[in-house]
Amino acid sequence: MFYKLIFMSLWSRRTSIILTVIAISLSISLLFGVEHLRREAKESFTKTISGTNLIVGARSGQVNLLLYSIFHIGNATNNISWKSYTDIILDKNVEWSIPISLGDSHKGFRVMGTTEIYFEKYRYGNKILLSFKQGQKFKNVYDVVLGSQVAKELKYEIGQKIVLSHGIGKISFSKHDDKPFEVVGILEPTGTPVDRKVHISLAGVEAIHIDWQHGAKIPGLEISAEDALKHDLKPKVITAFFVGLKSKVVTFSLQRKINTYKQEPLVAIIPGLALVELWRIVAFVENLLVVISAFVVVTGFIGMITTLLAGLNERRREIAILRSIGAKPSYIFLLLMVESTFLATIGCLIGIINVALILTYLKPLLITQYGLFISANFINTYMLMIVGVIIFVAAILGLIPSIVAYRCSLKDGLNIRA
Amino acid sequence: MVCYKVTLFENNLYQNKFKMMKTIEISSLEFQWQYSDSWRLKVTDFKIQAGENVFLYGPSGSGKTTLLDLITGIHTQENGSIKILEKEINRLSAKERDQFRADHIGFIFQQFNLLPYLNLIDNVLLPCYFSKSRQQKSMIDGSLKKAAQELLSSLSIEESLFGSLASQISVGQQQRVAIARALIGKPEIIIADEPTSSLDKDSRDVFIKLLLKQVEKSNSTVVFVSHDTELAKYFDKSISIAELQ
Repeated sequence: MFYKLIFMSLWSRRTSIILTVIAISLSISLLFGVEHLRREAKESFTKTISGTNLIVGARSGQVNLLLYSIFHIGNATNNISWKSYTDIILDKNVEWSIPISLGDSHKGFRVMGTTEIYFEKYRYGNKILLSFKQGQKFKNVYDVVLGSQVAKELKYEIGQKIVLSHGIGKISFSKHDDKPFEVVGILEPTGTPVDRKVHISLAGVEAIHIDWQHGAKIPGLEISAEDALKHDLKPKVITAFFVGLKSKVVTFSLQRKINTYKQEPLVAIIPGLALVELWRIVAFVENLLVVISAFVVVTGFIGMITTLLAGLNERRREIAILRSIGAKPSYIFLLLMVESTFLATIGCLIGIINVALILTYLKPLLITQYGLFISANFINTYMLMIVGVIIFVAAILGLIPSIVAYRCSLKDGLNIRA
Repeated sequence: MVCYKVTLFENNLYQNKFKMMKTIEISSLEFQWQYSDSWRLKVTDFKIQAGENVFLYGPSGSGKTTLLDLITGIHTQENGSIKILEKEINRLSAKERDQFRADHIGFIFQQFNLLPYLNLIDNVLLPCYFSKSRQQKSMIDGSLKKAAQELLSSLSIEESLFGSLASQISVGQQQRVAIARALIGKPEIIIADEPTSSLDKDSRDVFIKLLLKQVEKSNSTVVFVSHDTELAKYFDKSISIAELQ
């Protein structure tokens, strides 16, 4: 009967109650959404690269270099000459290096020219190597390896012929259509920007640009795909390179050496430190968002208490009736307490469901637009703890109408004050 | 009217049988609200026998409701004694008083007697939820619902309305459902606080007759409070609150 009283009473006040629950659930959605995005974005960023000691590029800010080399956001300021690259990796401490060359794209996915070492040494997450879902590494000049998302979205399979475009726009008017590539491998999903990369060899990059100059086709000069193979396809420039060291201890000394390299202005960054700096930039906004959403949650609950208090005046009759048939003041107190806690819990639940739905729908958009890999599974012990705290706070706030009702029940007695 | 005389006659028989049993007994009572010096309620001597139907009248502000609050144990007095069913209600703890009220007293208010969001059956059965003894006493063939239905029918509520919400029926019907709720489980005392003031003359008479008939059936005692002295004729005894002082 206790719960029947609560539910029937709530149901009779459904308009204001439903609005209250909506307000709470929206505020909870906002809080959890922001909190989850914040954590996931950070997680997603930090797990993008691991095992790489230094990233080297033309001199620019370290965040800029990190963004274009790893996340494919923005562009390189300049290139690195092949000569400088070979010179630097001669250092005895260098265990491996991966040169990369950017600037082309395929249907909005960025093309990265690299070497086979990329598939052997590049690690992400918890030092995980890339692995193939189908096919293998590129061997020939016109071979291409696709990230899992690229293959999935464009529905490409092994053996498919594709045409790369010059530049990085989604719609490109200058296509390398005279030199089609063949898909020879598709990578397993990694949850990093690798999934959205189109990998070709450095020779491939050279081949498609052999009859190009300053970003445009040289008029009248047409070199066929086959003829291109006869040319020297050794790269002249690259965009950046990753370095793995034999020992971490020498990271700083090599970094200093690269940063002071006389022949060419270069910069070497430590991915971990650059990521920290990147996060320091966004941390302010990030914290601000969390504070704002916390305030929204508080507003939601104050709204709930206001609604309950406003309704209480009308319910004094109800309380007098219950008292007349023997309900104790503590019973009235508990009735109100359970009611507010119940509303808060329902609000939280709906809020959580909202977030789950939104994340599921937002996930593809975040990946395509921002390269953010957000898992839709946001329920973890930390979140559950927050839910617990919120419901606890709601119960504490619920004390206000409960105490008012308790006092009314004592003072009014059996007087019905209509 | 003939029928009514018979009722009175039967009542007298019943009273003789239980003459010694006092339902309500108040002596040298003094009560004052905490923050008001000017007003105080005094009752020197007030007794109601078992089965006696009493009409208590007085103008508003004369302390009728306060007296009822004291009798039902909502408030307690500093001086004097109130015995309900031979029990000193003042000596009970707040919790015991609430339980005592649940077990032995049925209440009918002026209006808004029912929880608007429950149906008639649930409204009638509410007291059984707070009192085990009333639950056991009201059970018909092991069914509480049946008891509520029977009671409602005897108060001329149509069966088609049993399932409707209390907010959907007329005020006259609501007051009759209130009788059923007060009487379920046959509590010894029924307190009716101006229950007819929201009714017109015809439904008022119907209400009182139905009330007294059902009260008699369940061997209860009614304390009927009103400012309308015209109603005194229906009761065994009528007392002005001013006389009590």
